[in-house]
Amino acid sequence: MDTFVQQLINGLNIGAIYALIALGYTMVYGILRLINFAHGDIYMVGAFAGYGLAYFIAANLGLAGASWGALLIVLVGAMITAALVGMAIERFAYRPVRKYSRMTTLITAIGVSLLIENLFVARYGGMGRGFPQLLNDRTYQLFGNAAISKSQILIFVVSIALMLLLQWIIYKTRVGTAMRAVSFNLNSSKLMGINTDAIITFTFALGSALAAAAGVLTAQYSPTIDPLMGITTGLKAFVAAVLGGIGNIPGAVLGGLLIGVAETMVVGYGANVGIASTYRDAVAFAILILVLLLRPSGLLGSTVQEKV
Amino acid sequence: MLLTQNSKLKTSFMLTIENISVNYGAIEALTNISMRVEQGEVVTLIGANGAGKTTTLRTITGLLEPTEGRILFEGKEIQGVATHKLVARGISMSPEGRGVFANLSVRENLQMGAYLRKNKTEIAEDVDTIFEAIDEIRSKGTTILLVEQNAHAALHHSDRAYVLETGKIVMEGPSKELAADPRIKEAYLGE
Ligand SMILES: Nc1ncnc2c1ncn2[C@@H]1O[C@H](COP(=O)(O)OP(=O)(O)O)[C@@H](O)[C@H]1O
Ligand SMILES: [Mg+2]
Repeated sequence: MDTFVQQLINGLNIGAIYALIALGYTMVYGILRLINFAHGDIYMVGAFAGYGLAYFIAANLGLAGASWGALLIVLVGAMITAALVGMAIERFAYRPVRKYSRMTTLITAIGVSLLIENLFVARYGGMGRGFPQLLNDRTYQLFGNAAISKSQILIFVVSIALMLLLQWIIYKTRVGTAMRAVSFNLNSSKLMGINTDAIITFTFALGSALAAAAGVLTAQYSPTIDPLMGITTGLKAFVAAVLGGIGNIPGAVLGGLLIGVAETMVVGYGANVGIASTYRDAVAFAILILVLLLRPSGLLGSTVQEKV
Repeated sequence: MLLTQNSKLKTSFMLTIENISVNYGAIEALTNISMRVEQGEVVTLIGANGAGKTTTLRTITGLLEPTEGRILFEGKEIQGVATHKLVARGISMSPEGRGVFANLSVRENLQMGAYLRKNKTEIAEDVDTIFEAIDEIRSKGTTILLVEQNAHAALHHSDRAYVLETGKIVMEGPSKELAADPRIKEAYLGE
């Protein structure tokens, strides 16, 4: 029982990270029908931006060591940086090829992903580096042997706050209404006077900021970052988006949490049924294959055929 | 399609299309089309399915770009201008089909039509009195380019008409005369 509660906490926690990243995949897919393969790399860019900012404010503002102020600056700064990078990618890589087939944009996305990864490897080397700890992390004993750490609580609190904020933007603001209109029909939205290019750019900014938050939060919990950290995590978040129903926003959150829990349950119980804990990364992909076979539209995705 | 006059400058031609051709990839959908709509006029474009009516409208609203030719709105070239900017300049068209955003609420759908307007209370009032607004548009003598499958109705509710066949204008003239033309009667009015 202790193991179960512990693995559930860990799973929901890592799942919240997947969910934050999955939201970016699903929003961009919803609006452009594009799988943004570079999105996992934005999560990495966010972590590196946070890393750079943490050192910068330690040297220049005297905010060295753990403090809430430093954490807030690093988190918000990384989100803004990643939003700008995401907007630049959309503007200079995707928009020029959007008028060609979807396959062209997809291949462009793969190219952008490889470009970002290799630029960072060339600049920072392939080795992992320690992210400065901005939180005096400690563990709180729950009941039995189950425990939760301060960094895990931080992940829960910040990701829930960001998801509520996203919900508000999408359903209560003018730009959010325009996002929903564009995802339903691009040309009709243009005829309503919506600057659809601006809405698309804004969507990339939102998704990228969420991924950067995931990057900084993860680095508080497991503080090693490297230029290729976005590959596996990004793929799992993509699977989460597909599991929830790609294009569906609550689906991305549900998918992320489920993938996270499935993964930690394999670590906790897999050995009992002959699945070694080293298979934790394979779980997401087994789930992907099952979803594609059994319910390609995902758990919350609509089964309505795309209009032609 | 409604054309709203914005500039104080009096141009008698609200909309002028000069020799435009439009392609979908390798398919040429419009060949060298010319037409004009004068201030306050109701002009109709009739043609069989696939003649190019929708393509013409999509091109005027900037959803498609012509490969050649010019489109002038109130005397200024507009081909290649983004759709949302044309809407702001007074060219409005409701989307094809029922044009409803099924993922938005009814109120949000109505508000969409006022996306570019800033005054929230005015929008709310207008949404509540949407039918009054429609009558108002009619009575204001707004310029209209009417594109209808129903040629009979279109010819009887317009001043002038253009007939489109496989991407080319084959006839034009006052709607009354076209409605009386034996070729139109046979091909479009089923008389
Ligand atoms: N998206 C498209 N891609 C390729 N060809 C198209 C497309 N839309 C229309 N066409 C072709 O262009 C021609 C004109 O079509 P359209 O403008 O829709 O005619 P109408 O509205 O008068 O029925 C037709 O031959 C049609 O097959
Ligand atoms: Mg048509």
